[in-house]
Amino acid sequence: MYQRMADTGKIIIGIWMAAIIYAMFLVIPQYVGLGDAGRIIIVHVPTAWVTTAAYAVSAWYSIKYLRKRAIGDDASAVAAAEVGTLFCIFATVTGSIFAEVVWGTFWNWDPRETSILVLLLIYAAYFALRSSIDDGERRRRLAATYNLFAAVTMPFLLFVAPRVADSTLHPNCAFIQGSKCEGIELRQDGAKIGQLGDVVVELKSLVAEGDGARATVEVRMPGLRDTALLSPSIDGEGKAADRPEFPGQQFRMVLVDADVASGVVRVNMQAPGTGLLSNQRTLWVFLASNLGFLFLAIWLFRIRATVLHIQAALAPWEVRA
Amino acid sequence: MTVLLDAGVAIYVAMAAALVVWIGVFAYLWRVDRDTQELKRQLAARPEPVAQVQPQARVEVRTPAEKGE
Repeated sequence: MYQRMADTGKIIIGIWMAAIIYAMFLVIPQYVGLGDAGRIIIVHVPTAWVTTAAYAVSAWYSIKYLRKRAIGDDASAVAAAEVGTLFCIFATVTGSIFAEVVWGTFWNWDPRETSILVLLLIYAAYFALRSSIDDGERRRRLAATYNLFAAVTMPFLLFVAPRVADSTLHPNCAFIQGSKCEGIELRQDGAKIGQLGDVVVELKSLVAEGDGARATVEVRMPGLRDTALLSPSIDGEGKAADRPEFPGQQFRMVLVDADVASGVVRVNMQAPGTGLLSNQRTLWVFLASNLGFLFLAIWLFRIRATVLHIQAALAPWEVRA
Repeated sequence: MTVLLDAGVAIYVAMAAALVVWIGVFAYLWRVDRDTQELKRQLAARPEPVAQVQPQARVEVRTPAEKGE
């Protein structure tokens, strides 16, 4: 009975993921400014989130091992860490492909790219540590302890560090409102100059345009290597209308809010991909993809954990032989 | 061959390639899963390994009187 249910679940995963692939290419619309490259988000982000879950599960089993010293818990911790690393590599590769299409380079040491690479190195060290110690009990104990330290760094590297960084091409605001998502306020009769990331912006003028408004903002790129006058606008309903591109960058300048009477504007920079999930079809496919990858990871974890449990169970036989 | 890269066709080609890869991965996982479950069953059916017996020896020194000679 249990076996039949498990088999049914695996077949559902297979069909579910096939449907996700179909929807990724043929159901969700193209995103303006990203073209078909935007579709990769359906794979890229869920794999990164599954990485987080897998590493957390690994840490949980390491804690269990340290408390009870059951070999099976250590095997489960390794299996979860391996699944997490597999998905982490997958997220990195898909992100790199996206970066090549949209930013023009596979790797540009963007804060999030750098932090995920550091995370991969931290877990590579976990596997290296395991393989460098012959004594089984010592290996398990040290690896479990190291795994806890590795897990502590994970949320900082995946969630905090990329958002603390001032300059990132990553469209953070597409998913979670972060500290850099609200933009900056500029005043005609006060603080005209502000900083978005490492770009200096200065409000030059603000005029009414129909029911909306248009601002003229001078942007100065780091080191003054480029300056430009951009004129973002906002329509009568408060939605961004014109979103001019930064010089030599794929960022766009957006007028988030404008009050012509008092001469106050709020401007922000948008990376490609910002607002991607505001489309309902994209959002539902994205959520379905998260679910699909989560169950796929659980299946992978079960297979790998079973193999490791078998290895552990066979160990006494090998000693006797 | 270049027709596969045409704007209207490329997306179907990409989808077909992704589906083929997924079907391959799924089939492989299914097989590995089935094999590991079978191994697990076989292992559960085996008897528990007995504890290793250490070789032991005892030396007795007997006098002729003890031997009854």
